[in-house]
Amino acid sequence: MARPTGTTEEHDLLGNLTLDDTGLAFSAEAGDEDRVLDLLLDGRRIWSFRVGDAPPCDGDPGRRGLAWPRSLVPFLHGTADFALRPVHGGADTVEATGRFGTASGRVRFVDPHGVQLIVNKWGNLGHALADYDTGMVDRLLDNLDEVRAVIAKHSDVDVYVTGGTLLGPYRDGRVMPNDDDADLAYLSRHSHPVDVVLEAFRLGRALVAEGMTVIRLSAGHVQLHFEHEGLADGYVDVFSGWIDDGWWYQVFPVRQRVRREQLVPVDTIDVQGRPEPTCREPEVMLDAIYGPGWATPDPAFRFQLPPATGARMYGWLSDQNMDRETWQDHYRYGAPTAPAPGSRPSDYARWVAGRIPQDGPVLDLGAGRGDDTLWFAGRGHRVDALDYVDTGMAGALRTAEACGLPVRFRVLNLNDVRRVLVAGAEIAARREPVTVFARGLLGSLVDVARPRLWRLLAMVLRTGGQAHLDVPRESWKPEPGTGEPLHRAVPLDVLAAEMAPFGLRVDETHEAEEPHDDTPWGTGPRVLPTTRMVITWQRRPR
Amino acid sequence: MAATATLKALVKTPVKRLRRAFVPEYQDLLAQVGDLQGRLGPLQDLPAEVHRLRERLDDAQARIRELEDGLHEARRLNLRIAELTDVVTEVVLPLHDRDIDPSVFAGLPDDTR
Repeated sequence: MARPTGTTEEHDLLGNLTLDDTGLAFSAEAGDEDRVLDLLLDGRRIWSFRVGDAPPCDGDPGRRGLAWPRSLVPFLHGTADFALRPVHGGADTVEATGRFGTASGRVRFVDPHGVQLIVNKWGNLGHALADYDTGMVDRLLDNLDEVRAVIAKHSDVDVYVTGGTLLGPYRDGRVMPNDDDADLAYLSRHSHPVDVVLEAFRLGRALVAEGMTVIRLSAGHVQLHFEHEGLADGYVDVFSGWIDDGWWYQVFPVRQRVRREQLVPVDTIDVQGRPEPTCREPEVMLDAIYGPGWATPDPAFRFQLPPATGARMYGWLSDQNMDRETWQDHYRYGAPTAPAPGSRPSDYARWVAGRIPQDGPVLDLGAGRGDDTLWFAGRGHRVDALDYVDTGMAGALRTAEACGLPVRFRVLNLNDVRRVLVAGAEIAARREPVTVFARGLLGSLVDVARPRLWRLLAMVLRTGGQAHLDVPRESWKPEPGTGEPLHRAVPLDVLAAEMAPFGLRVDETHEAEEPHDDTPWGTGPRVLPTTRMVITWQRRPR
Repeated sequence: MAATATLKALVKTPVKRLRRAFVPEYQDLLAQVGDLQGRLGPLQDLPAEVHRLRERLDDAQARIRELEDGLHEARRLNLRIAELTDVVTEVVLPLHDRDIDPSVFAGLPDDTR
């Protein structure tokens, strides 16, 4: 198949780049709003945006300003050479040197292992394939093939490459260097969302059974994570797809009138020298995912999800990934000066420790970096530590193993009721009173996750024990979906009313001033007014 | 008063002549104005009609929001069914099958015959 080529246009008069701690500003011609610019740090692309993303500033219609991406800000300490480079040609790359904060060294935008970072199309930290070692793409495609093989072994779905793994090879003849993952999708033979989801659950289970690290982002999207020499090594996305009554759905942006024979039986496409399956008409898929402009390279591309598509996908498949990446990045990159795990228990943990049975088991929900987990364990409590992400626990896990502490760290996603029921059943089956400790959890949960938390508490407190949960009395980030984790006060009467049908009762409340020095909200060390609740489960009168 | 009436009568005729000379279409326009005023009569109710329509629109928008919420709830049931089916088949039954007495099935009442 002939590959289309991207367009190149000549522009000029991009100029006068200035930098400060809050963002960058530059001059651009009127009418250049759709022009895509790469932001280079010391000559390396780290982000892309459209001129139009930067609103006019300084009262000058030719001058535009843009705040630094939120995820880049924590790294801006020292001196750095930045440049803006037009993606589609033009000789007017502009450069400037910036000094940020008071640090004297060079700005380093790298992960803790020295691998260079980028800001991805979601505004989060990521890695570009081009910034890894030369073997990375081969390893990623090996992993993709392995995932494909597992899916083929356990189901009759048709699997093919999609997203960037289709776009790059089809349009450019190579994997896109700015991409950060490999993408697979499959076409189910089912047409009803219930059957499609059940199949997706089965496939997730099969991938786990084959020893893979599987993260579920929605009922129709899993992410497979891999390591190489002990370090994270790119990931493979798997998206569910199905056709119902002439509508083709593929997570998450596709809702299109497509005939089955336009997708299957699969064809093959050359991906870095290896044949990979593609749908029968790749341009149909590319158009459905990226729109009619897919043939023109656009590193600043952002998905424009039609409401009719988004509402269906969210209703049928939900979102089990809310705020996960920002929490993950916070623990992975956010606080290089954080104390060693377990060295500094919270005020709340100390307060709770004085009120619970010595040696009794503790369930630490939302354990974060595991400081309180290790401290409880060091006092002789057997602790189950659960958190949404595993990046925070990594250090504490090593400490626990080295010290022989009785701690078990696990990931629990409160957005996934199935995982909640399994965890609750397992802990309840021990038939011993347990102390649940959840510091800073309630204020960060979206509304739909709270009933799952109540369900979990109702299960594990059935044999006695009590739950200690605090809730903030002021909100640091009350709006969901801002790119920063949610943080908000929730009225006690609302919580009590929600809990009651689960047999949970708030027995005590205590107001406190809780110091926080490791938050993802850019607050710095700060004292948060909270209400500490003591909750028990009450058997319903028969 | 009589003087004023006389003056008006004296002026009226020349004014009419002048008007006919310079604005010959005056009478036609006058007739059209009357006609238009007659037609505009019903439009005097327009502000009230706009107000009524605005209320209906607001009501419809509120109902659309409610319907969208209801639709979302209905769509979520699909996931709920899938989750519960998955939990029953993958967790509940495997955990309990060791405790199930096959003879109990014989005692389970049929719901239909």
